[in-house]
Amino acid sequence: MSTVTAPTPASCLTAPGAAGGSPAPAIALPDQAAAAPAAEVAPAPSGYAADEEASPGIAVSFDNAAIAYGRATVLRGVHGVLPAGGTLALIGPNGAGKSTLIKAVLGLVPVAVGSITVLDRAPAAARRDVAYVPQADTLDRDFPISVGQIVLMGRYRRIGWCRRPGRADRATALAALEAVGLAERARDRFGTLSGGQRQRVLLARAIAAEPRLLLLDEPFNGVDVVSQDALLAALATVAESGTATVVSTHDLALAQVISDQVCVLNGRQIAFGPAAHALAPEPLRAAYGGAAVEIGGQSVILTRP
Amino acid sequence: MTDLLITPFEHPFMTRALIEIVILGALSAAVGVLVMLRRLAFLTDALTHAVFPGVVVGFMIGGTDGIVPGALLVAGLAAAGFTALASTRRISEDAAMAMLLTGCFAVGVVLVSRRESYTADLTGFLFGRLLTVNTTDITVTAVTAAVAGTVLLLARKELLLRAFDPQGAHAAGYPVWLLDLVLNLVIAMVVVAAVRAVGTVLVIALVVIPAAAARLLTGRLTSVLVVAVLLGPLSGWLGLVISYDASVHHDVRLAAGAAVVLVLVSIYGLVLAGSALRSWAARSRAARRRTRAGSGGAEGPGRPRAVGGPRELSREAV
Repeated sequence: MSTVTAPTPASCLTAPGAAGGSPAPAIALPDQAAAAPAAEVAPAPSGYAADEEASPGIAVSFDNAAIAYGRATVLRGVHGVLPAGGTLALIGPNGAGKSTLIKAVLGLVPVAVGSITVLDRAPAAARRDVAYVPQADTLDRDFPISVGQIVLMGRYRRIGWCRRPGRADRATALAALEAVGLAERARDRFGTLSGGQRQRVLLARAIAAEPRLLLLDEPFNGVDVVSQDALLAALATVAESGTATVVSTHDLALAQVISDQVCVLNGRQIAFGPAAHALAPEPLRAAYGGAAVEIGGQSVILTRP
Repeated sequence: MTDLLITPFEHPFMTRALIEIVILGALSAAVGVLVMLRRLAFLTDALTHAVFPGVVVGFMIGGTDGIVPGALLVAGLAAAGFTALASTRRISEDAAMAMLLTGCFAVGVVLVSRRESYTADLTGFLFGRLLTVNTTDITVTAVTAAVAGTVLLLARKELLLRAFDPQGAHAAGYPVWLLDLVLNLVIAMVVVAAVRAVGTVLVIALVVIPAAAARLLTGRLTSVLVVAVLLGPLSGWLGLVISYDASVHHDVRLAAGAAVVLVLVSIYGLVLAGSALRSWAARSRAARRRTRAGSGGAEGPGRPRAVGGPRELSREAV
C-alpha cells in the first residue's frame, strides 16, 4: 500500500510549539477513527510472520510472549519470528516496551506468559552467542579506559575466566574496530570520542564477540550523520555475515532501510511483519496515536520539540 | 638528605614499620583503583567502621592475636551484607549503609568503653600503631596482599567490564553479584590487614587517595594502576621519615599513621593544583589560538582523524 520511504530528515517532523501538550485537532480526529482499524491489526501478527515453519534457521521466535515487572504487564502479545541473518526493527513511542523486549531476549527480564526462544534455547542460555549494544550515553565518559580495551571486552566471554586476551583476540578486536571505521582511535580514551563514535565503539565491541544475534538499543539516538553512515555500513556487513540483528529505533526511515522485519509496539504488539506492511498508516496510528500522520503519501511521526 | 631518608630505618622497629607500610600501601592502592572505578569509596569507609566491633571482640577474646580473626569475620559478613543490600533496589543504598556503619561503630565503642584502659585501646584501634608492628603482623599483611593481589589479577578482565558497563556484563551472562562479592571481600581484607598498622579510620586514605591522585595525572588505566601503586608505598616511606624526624629531632610527637595520611593528602593537593594549572594553561592557549585564527579550526565531531595511528591493539592492562 502506501510506501513509507520518508527520508531521514523528514521522518521526525517537529510539531509546532503550541502542539506540545496535545496533537493538533485536525490530526486528533483521524486518531479516534483509527481505533477500529487498529484493533483489526492487532490479532493479525501471526499472519505476518511468514516463515513460521520451524526451520533450523531461526534466530528468535516470540510465541505470544508477555513481559511483566512484578504485577504490571508492560508488554504483551509479542508473536513472530526473526529468521537467522534477518534484521528486526522495534518501533514504538517512548515507554512502548522496546528496551523491555530486548532485555527479555537477553534473558534479563523473565517472560510472564508465552515464550521467547533465542537460537533454539531459552534466552538466558543463549547469551554466549548474543551480543548487546547499549546506548553510549549510559556509560561513564570519565572512565579511564581506551577504545581498544573496550572492543577487547567483546572477546572476554570467548577468552574465559582467568586468562589474558591473545594475539588472535587482539586481531579480531582490531578488525571489528576497522569495521566501524575507528581503527586509528584504538589508543584514545573512550571519553574523548564524540557520542556517535562512542556508539560505534560499542558496536565494534559487539562485533568482536562474533555473535549469532546482535541486539541494539536505540543506536542512532543523538548520532551525527558520519557516525550514522558508519553504523549502517557496519550493520550491513554484520547482516551479510549471517548474524541476525534486532534494532530498536524511533526512526521510521532507518527502520525501513535496515530491516526486513518490523515489530510495532506500544504496550502490546501492534504489527509484526515486512516493513511495507508493518509501517502502514493504521499500525502506526495505533502505536503513536495522533502523532502519526501522512505527508505526501509517506507516514511520519510528529515529535515534540 | 639521604641520611634523613635512610638513617631512621637503622632501627629494627622502623624497618618493620617500613616493610608493613610499603606492602600495605601498594595493596591498598591497587584495590583503590578498582574502588575508584566502581565509586565504592563510601562502601570502603562503611566497612572500616563496620569492622570495628569485630576488632574489639577479637581483642577481648584473644588479645592482640584475636584482632585479625575477629575483624576478618565481621568484615566478611559486612561485605556479604553490603553485596546483598546493593542488589535489592528496595532500600536506598547509602541510607542503609549509613545506618549499618554507625550502628556497628556504636557497638564497638560500647564494648571498648567497658574496659579499664578505654582511651588507649580506642586510639589503638582507630589509628593503629605502625611503629609497634611485629613480624607476625607483617606476615599477615603479606599473605593478605598475596591473596588479594592474586584474586584481582585473575578476575581483572571481568571486574573491569563490570565496573565499566554493569548492564553489558549482565547481558554477557556474567554473575555480577559474584564479581561484586569478590571485590567487596577483597576490600574487606585490605581493611582488616590495615587495622593493626594504621587503624580502621586511616585505611580509607590509603585506599582512596593514591588512585584519585593517579587518575588526575593520567587517563590510561595501566598508568593509573602503576602510579597509584608507586604513590602508596612512597607516601608511607615519607610519612615514616617525617614522623621519625619530628619526634627525634624536633621533639614533636607525630603519630606515624597520621603522618602517612597527611603526606598522601598533601600529594593529592599538589597533583590537584598541578592539573588545575595545566588545564587552565591549556584553556588559555586554546583561547589565544582561537582569537588568532579567527573562525573555524574546530574539527567536526564525526570526522575521522588522519590515518597513521597504531595498527595494533596495545597490550594494555587487560
